[in-house]
Amino acid sequence: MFEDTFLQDLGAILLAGVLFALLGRRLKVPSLVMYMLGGLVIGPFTGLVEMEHTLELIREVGIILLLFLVGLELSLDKIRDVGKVALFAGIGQVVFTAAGGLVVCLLLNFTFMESVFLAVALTFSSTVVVVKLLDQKGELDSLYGRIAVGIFLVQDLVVIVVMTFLAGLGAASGEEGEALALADTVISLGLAFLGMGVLLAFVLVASKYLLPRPFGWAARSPETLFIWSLAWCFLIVVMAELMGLSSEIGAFLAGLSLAQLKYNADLQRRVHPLMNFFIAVFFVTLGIQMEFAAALDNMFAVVVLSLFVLIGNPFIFILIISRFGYGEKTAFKTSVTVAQISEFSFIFAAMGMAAGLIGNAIMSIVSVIGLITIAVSAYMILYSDQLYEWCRRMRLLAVFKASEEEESVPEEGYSGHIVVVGMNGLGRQLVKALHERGERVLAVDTDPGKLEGLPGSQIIGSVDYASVREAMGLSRARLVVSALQIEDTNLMLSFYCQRSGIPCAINAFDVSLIPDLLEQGVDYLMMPRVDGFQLQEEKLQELGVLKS
Amino acid sequence: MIGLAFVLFAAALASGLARGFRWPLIPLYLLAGILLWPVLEFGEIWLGAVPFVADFMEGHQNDDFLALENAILELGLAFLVFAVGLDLSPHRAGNRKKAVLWVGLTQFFLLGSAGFLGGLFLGYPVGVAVFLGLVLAASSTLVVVRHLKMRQKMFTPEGRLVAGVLVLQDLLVIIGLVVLLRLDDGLGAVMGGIGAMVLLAGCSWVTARYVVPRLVLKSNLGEELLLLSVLALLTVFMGLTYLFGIPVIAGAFMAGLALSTFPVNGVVRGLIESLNDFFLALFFIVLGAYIGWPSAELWLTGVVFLGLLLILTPLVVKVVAEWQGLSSRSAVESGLLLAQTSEFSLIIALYAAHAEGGEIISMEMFSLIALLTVFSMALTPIISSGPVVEWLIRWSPMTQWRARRAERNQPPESCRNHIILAGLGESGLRLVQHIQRAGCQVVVIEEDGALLQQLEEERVPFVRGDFTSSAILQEAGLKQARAVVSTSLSREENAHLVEALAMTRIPLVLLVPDEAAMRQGPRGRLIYSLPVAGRTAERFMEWFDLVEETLGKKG
Repeated sequence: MFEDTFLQDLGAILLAGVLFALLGRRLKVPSLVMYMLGGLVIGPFTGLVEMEHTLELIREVGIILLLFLVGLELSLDKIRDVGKVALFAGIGQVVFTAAGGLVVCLLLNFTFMESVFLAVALTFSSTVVVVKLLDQKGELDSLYGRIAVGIFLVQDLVVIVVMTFLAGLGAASGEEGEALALADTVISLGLAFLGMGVLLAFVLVASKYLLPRPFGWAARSPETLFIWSLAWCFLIVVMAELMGLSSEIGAFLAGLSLAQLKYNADLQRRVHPLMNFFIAVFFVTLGIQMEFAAALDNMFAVVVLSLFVLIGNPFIFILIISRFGYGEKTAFKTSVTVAQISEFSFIFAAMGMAAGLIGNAIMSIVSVIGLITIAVSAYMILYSDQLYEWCRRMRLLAVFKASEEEESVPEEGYSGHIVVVGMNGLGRQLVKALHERGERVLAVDTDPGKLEGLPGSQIIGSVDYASVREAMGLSRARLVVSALQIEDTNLMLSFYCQRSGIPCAINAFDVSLIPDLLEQGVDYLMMPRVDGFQLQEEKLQELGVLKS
Repeated sequence: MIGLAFVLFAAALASGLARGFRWPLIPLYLLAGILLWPVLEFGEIWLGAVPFVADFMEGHQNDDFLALENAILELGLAFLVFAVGLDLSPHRAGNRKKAVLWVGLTQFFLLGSAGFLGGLFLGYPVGVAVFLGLVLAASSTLVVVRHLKMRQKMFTPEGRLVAGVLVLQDLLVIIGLVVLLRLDDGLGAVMGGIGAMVLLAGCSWVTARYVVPRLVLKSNLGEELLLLSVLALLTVFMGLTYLFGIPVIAGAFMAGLALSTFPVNGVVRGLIESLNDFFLALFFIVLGAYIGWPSAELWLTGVVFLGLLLILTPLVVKVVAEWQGLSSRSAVESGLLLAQTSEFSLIIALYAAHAEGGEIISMEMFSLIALLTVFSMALTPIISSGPVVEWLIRWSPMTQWRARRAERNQPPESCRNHIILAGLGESGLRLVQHIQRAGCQVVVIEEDGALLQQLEEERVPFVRGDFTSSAILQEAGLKQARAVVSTSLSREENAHLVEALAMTRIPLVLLVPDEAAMRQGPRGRLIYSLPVAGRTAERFMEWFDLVEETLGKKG
C-alpha cells in the first residue's frame, strides 16, 4: 500500500514547480512557463522523474478541473456587454488564424493532417495565462480585459466543437490503422455531435430543473456543496465517456450547468485551489514529457510558426476589433493578449497523437511553440503600454486606421463600503441597521440561506479564502464588521484588516478572546455577554426587583 | 476516471447524509467506502445486461482504480496529519491547561493500558496488544472539534478541556507510533526514533521561526504559488522522514506544526481547505473499501473494546475533570465527547498491518479496528446528547453526593429576598457587583472550582452545584428569592430552570441569542427572555455614529 515512489515523484514535481516558479517571479515569467521548465529539468534533462500511470491520472484530473472551472466561469452575463465583439473577434480569429496557419504549415511541407492539427493548435490562446497576467496587472476589469475574457470564452466554445470533431475523427481512425474512411468519419462526427447534443441538453435541463433544489439544500454546508459539485462533475465526465466524448467536454458541460446557480462564485473559489494544485502538476509533467529532439529537427518551422502566433494573431485581432469602433489602444492591448497558444493546444495535440492521427514530432513542435509563445507573450502583456507607445512612435499601427480615443475608465469593484461577515442574528441586525443609515453594506456568509432577504449586496463564501476577501474589496472597505462566532476566523479577519489599515469591529463572544483581539488592534469589540448582563440588570430594575 | 467518479459519488452520498442528519462525516465516509464495492459488484451484474455499458465497465474496471487508490491513500494520509499539526494550538485549552494535562494524560495512559491488558487477556501477543492499546488511547479530533463547533461549544469549559485534550493526545499518538514501529528492534532503535523526532521537531521550529514568516506573510507570493510552496514544505518534511527512517506521517505532522503559529496557520488553512476536504473524503472512502467483515472470534474483541471505550472513557474523564474543578455537567459531557477512537487509530492500524518487517496485525484485525472507529464515532452525537448527559448527571453518585452536601459559604438563613444567579460564567461577576451595589443580596449557584474561588475572594454568597437541579435551587433559597437570573445561553439548561420555576411566581430572567431564538424559546408570564443581539447591534451603532467622522464618511 505504501509504495513511496509516487509520493517521491510528486514531491520532486512540487519542489521543481515551486523553485522554478519562484525564480520566474523574479524574472516576471508566468508560472506556467516555469512549471514546464521545472518539468524539463527533472524530466528530460536529469531523468529524476519519469511519467507514471498515477501521474498521468493526476494530470487528467487537472485538465478535468480546469475545464470544469472554465465552465463555471462561463456565465452569459459576464460577456453580454462585450458579447458582439467577442463573438465576431473570437470566431473571426479562429477562422483566419486556422486558415493562415494551414497555409503556412502546408508551405512548410507538413502533411495535410499534420497541417490541420498544427493550424488548429495555433488558433487557441491560453485563458489561464492571460487571465492570470491581467489579474497581476490589475486590469482584468478594464475594457480590453473584459473583451479579452469574452474572446477566450468564445474560443472555449470553439474548443468544445473542435474537440467533438476530434472525438469523431478519433473514433473513425480506430479501425486497425486503416486510412480514414469518409463515411466512418461522418458517422463518428455525427455520433459525437449527437452525444454532445444529448449531453448539452441534459445538463441544461438539469441546471434549470434538476440541480437548483438539491444543490440549494447542500449549499448550506459549503463542504457538502463542494463534494457534490465534484461528484456531479465526474458523473458528467463518465457520461461523456460513455457517449464516446472526451472527459474534457464532460467537465466543461458540468461546470456550465452549475454556472447558472447563484452560488457558483463561491464554488469557483473552492475549486480554484484544487485546480491550482492539479494544474501545476499538469504543467510540470508536460515539461517532463516534452521531447525536444523532434522539434530541434524542425527548428525553422518552430520559429516561423512562433512568429506567426506572436505577430500574425495580434495582427488579425487588431483588424477585427478596430472595425467595431474601439480605440487604437484598446484594440492593440486586447490583441496582444492572444499572442500565445493555449494549454488546449497541448491537450488537442496529445489527443491527436493518442488517436494516431499525428506523430510525436508534431506534439513536440506544439510544445516548443507553446513554451516560446507563452513566455514572449507574457512579456508583451505585462508591458503592453510601453509596447503600444513604441508601435505608435514607429507608426506601425497607422495601417489599421483605428481611432485614437482613450479607453473608458474601468469600473471599480466595491469601494468605501462596510463589510459585515457572519449572518447570524447579530449580523443580520447589523446589516439592517447600517443599511437604514444609508450605508453601502456588503453581507458575507457561507450559507446562502442566511443571506436571504437582506438589503444591500451579498457574497456567498468564507473569508478564510483570499479570493473571497478580494471579491469583497476588503482593502477598499471603510469598515469591516464580524458577527461570527468562530475564533480563528475572527482573529484572521482582524489581522487582515490591521494589515490593510482598515478599521474593524469584531464579535468578542467570549471574554477570553478579548486580549488576542486587542492585540490585533481591533477598533471595536462587540461583547454580547456584557450587553446581556446589562439587559438583565435593566429588566430587574423594570420589574422593581432592583433599584435603578 | 470512472473509479474516481464512483468514489466521489459515494463521498457525495455520505456528505449529504451527514448534512441531513447532522451525523459525523468520517464514519459515514468509511461506511460509504465499505458499501462501495458490494454495490459496484451488484451494479455490474445488473448493468452487465446492457451491452455498451458492459464493454465500458470491462474497459474501465481495473484501469486506474488501483493506481489511484494508492495515490489517494498516501496523499490523504499526508493531508490528514498535516491538517492536525496545523491546528495544534495549545491556545485552544484557554485557562484549562492544567486540567487538560491531567485529563489528557490520564485518559491516554489508562485507556492505553486497558487496551493493552484487554488485548493480553483476549490472548493476543504483546506486540499486537501494545498496538491495540495505542488504538484505544486517543479520541478523534476531527469528529469532536467539528461536533463542538456545530453546537457552538468551543468556548464552554468542556469545549476548552476536550479541545486541549485532543491536541495533547494527537501529539502522544505520533510519538507512540514512532516508538511502537521500532519496538522490535530494541531500545537503541526506539531511542533513535525519538532522536529523529526531536531533530525533526528542531527543523520544524527553525522553519517556523525563520522561513515561514518570510514565505507566508512577507513575500506576497499570490495564492497559487503560496499554496504550492506550502505543499513543497510538506514534501520536504516528508522527505526528511525517509532520511531519518521514521514514518512519513511524522514529517507531515511536523510540517503542519511549522505552520501552526498565528497568523500563518489562518492563511494556510484558507489555502488548503478545499484540498483537504477533497483528499480526506477520498481517503476515508478508499480506506473504507479495505474494511472487510471480521470473523466471529474477533467480535468478542470488538465488543470488549467498544465497552472499554464507552464505559471507561466517560468514567475516567469525569472523575479527573471534576477533581480538576470542572462542573459535573462539563465533566460528564467531556467524558462522553471523548468516548471514541481516533482517525489516528485507523492510521496506527494501517501502519501495523503494513509494517516493513511484516504485518503486525492482520487485515482482519485492521477491519475490526476500523469498524470500532466507525461505531464509536457514529455513537458520539448520540451519547453526548442532552438526555444522556442529564441521565448520567442524575445517576452519578458523585453528583448526588455533591448535591446532598451542597457546599455553601454562608448560612442558608441569610438568604431572603435575594436574587439567585444561575451560573456565574466567565464575566458574571460584573453583574453580581451591580446587583450588590443596587443594595440587593445575591446568591450564585456555580459548580466550577475556579469561579467559586473568585466568589470566595469577593465574599459573594454561593451554593456549589448544578443550577438545573431542583434540590440545589431550593438550597439557594428559591422559595424566598425575588428573582432568578440565568447567565447561560444554553437552551437545555434554561429549559430546566423554566420547569423548576413553573409552579412559582418568581420572575425568571433569561438570555437568548436573538429574537428568532426568543420565539422558539421558553416563554411564560413571569419568564423574560431577552435577545442579546439587538442590544449588541444598538451598542455598535452608537459607536459607529461616534466615529463616523473619523471613518471619513463626511470627507
